Amino acid sequence: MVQDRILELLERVDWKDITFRLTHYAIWKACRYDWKSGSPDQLPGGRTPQDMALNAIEKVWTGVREWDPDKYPNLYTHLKWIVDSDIDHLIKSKEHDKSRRMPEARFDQVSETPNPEEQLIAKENKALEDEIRDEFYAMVEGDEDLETLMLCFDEGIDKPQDIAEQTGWDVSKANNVKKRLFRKAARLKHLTRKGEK
Amino acid sequence: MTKKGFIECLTDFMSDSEGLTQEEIATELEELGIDTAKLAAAADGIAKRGSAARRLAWRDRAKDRRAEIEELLKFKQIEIAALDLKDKAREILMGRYGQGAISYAEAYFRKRDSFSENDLESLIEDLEDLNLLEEEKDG
Repeated sequence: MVQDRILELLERVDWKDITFRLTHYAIWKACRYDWKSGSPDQLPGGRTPQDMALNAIEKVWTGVREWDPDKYPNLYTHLKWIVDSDIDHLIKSKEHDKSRRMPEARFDQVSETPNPEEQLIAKENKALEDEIRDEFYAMVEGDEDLETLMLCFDEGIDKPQDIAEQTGWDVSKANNVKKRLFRKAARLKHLTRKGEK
Repeated sequence: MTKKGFIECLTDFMSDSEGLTQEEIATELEELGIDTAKLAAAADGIAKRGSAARRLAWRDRAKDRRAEIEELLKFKQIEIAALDLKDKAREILMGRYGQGAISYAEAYFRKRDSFSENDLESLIEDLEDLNLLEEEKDG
């Protein structure tokens, strides 16, 4: 029976590994937005990215977001969708909306004839993106690889394979550069500002 | 297709943990002030509770299915000579050998209106071949 198989598969999962990866994923997904708290570590309702990851795992176990291994064999991908959906829900929540408008992930997705409100939002979004972008460029100054990586992001390139192709690196170098960026980024105010704005 | 913005590229790139080991991710989480031992323990707790709840539901389902199969056996003719095999089949259906064996036997019985000794022997051989006749540990 399907339920028996799902249980068997769930019991075989390395939950420690998947929880760390999912928390890591939720942290960076949360960083994409400007939260009312001023910190991507403090989400509406007192939640943290860790909570988002653990809630997603709980939803799969309890069947609230049932996993269909035939349709979606990769459980981690299924969990990421749940985190995305829950973060999206938080963004749209009244609590978030009360104080701060949400910068869209893509700043060029404003309608062709934006009304004054949309224009204002786009302007705010652009200012925030520029602020974060400048902060990252300043952080990596002097590190040629990281500067190259920032240029890739500016060009809309973010897949390790595409970065490797664009830069002439191999994929493992792209992953090593990612580790370097982690270490630096952990000190950035946009990631760890703990409520300061 | 619209070009992705800087932040979207940055966060998509950084959120992708492929190519990173568990230790590397743990180090990163710790640098961000996350207690990874506590996080792992919380996930373990969810998995244990979830597993227990699902197993309980599993037992309920198995109980219902056994009752259905008992009915099936009652209404289908089994030759007298096959009675000892019938007892073995009954043990399988009572769950002594776990869900895999029950599922297989259930499908087998449903396909037939009556059973000969050979039929029951063949079923038990199939289950043995499929390694489904190991006694259930916690069922």
